[in-house]
Formats: sequence, C-alpha cells, structure tokens
Amino acid sequence: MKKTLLAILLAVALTVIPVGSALALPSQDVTITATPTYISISNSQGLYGFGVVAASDTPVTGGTAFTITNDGTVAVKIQVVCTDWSPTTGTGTWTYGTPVAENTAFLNASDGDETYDVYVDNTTPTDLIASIAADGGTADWGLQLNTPSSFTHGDKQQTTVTVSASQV
Amino acid sequence: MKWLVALIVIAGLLLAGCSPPPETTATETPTITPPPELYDKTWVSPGKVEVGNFYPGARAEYMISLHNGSDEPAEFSVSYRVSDNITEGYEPAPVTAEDWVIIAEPAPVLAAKETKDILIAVEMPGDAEAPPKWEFQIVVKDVTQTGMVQTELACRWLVAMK
Repeated sequence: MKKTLLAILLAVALTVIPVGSALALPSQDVTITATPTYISISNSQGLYGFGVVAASDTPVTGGTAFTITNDGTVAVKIQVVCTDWSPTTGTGTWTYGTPVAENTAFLNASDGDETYDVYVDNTTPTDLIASIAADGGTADWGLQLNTPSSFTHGDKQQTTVTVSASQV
Repeated sequence: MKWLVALIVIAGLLLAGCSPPPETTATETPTITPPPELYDKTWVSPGKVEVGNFYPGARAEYMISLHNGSDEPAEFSVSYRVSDNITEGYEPAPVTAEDWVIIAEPAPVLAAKETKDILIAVEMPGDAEAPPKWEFQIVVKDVTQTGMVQTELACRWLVAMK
C-alpha cells in the first residue's frame, strides 16, 4: 500500500513540476530584426536574339544592351544565372557549359563595358554588378554568346537569363 | 498491476516533460506603407531579416511582404536558396538547413496591385549543428514573366547563433 501511495505521489509531483523545465536550456530569447526596406528592379528589355551564329564565334549584345533600374529603397547587388539550352524548333539541343565543344555553348556577361568576363552559370548565380543605388539608380550590362565548336543540327536554341537583386 | 500502471504514468510524464516544445519567436511585420511610387512595381520587403540568439531547437518566424505591381494577376515562386552572395562575417547555410526553412506559400498567385504576406519560419532541430553565423536567401520570382531576360528578388536571412 505504501509503495502504491509513493508511486502516486511521485506521479503527482512530476505533473506539478515539469521535468522538461529542468532539462531545457536556460531561458533565452531569439531576436528578429528587419528594417522595412523594399527590393524592386526592372530590366530594360526581356528579349534578345543573336540570330544565325557560326561555330566557335562570340557574338555580343553590346555592353549596354540591357539596363537594370533599381526601383527599391536600398542599394542592391545583382547576380545572374541562366537555364540550360532548350530548342525552340526541332528536338536537337545544346549542352550548357564551358569550354565550348560540339553542341556545347555558354554565355558570358559584362557589367556595362565590352569585357565579357563574368561566366553565367546555369545553376549558381554569379556576381555581375556590385551595387546599384536606390531610388532609380541604373546599371548597364550585356551578354556574349560562346557558340559551339561544331554543330550536329541546326535547331534554334534558347536560354533564360535571370538577374537577381539582393540588398547590399 | 497497480505498480505497472504507476510506472506507465511515470514513464509517460517523463517522456512528455523531457520534450518541451521549441520556443517560437515571431515578429510582426511592421505596418509601414511603401512609397507610393512602388505601387506599379513588383517588390519584396524586407530586404534583410536578422535572426539573433538562435539555437538548436528554436523556431523563428517572420512575414515577408510581396507586391505584384503589374496590371495582370501573376503567379510567383517563393523559394529557398543558398548562394555565394554572402554577407561579410557569415557563412553559407548548412546543406541540411533547407529542411529547416518552411515557406507557408511557395506559389502564391497575386491579383494586379495586390500585396500579400508570406510566412517564413526557420525551425532548427535540437540535434542540428550550424556555423556561428550563417545566411540563406528567400527568392521571389514572377513565373509569368516571358522572354530571355527575367528578374527575381531576394530577401537575405542572416542567422546568428547564441
């Protein structure tokens, strides 16, 4: 009888004094801080066609072909990334990557000049423009296509380039 | 028999008591009106969310705001990303951190000029590990965009461990 009573008392005590409180980490407050800034950009044009291209060529849009405007309230950094090649006619496709090879091509980008030294990766965004000022600041940029060393088909290819803005 | 019942009760209480729910910290999104010139622009706010004193087992929540500035309804993608675009002093989020981030609405559809709040939560398991300071991004993209060049907007999340 005594043992049963002891067990019941222990159970009641555990209910009143939660064991979790004793075992939990000391009290600590997670803090969250956010300044109400607004990230917004626009790009001057969404379409560009390189036209018919030759093997092992490097046609360019021109270093100022596109203009990004920072419409937001803080300076932003710009990165670029693109998708794999996909055919718009036929079924033949190119492989995205460097160096160029048979049916393998890639894009480089420039930050407003004629040196296209930023490789546009097809998976990871890469830095293009370090900072564009807030409230209407602008920056030009352009693209260079590095065409395949040879072709096995003539199907037209496309890729989508995404410019990504984040607060500096 | 009574002993058995008592032991089961005690074991149950111990198990329940040893697993306290994670502390949740939620901060209300400040109700600050965006500049009127942004009404016709697509934007995300804020640009940066800083979580401090974070620790394994903790949970932090914050609403990011998304505005569709176009004249047409648009579907957006809201996704998690770790990029090499990292704030000085921070490291990229651990690979497993993708499983800790909950995006309440990953494919919201917004009417023209509509603004919507999207809940983002970071829930770190009690046995997980992370660098002292780590960063990830919540990336928002209008998936109704067409054309070769498209835009997306990123909200940085900077997490400092306790």
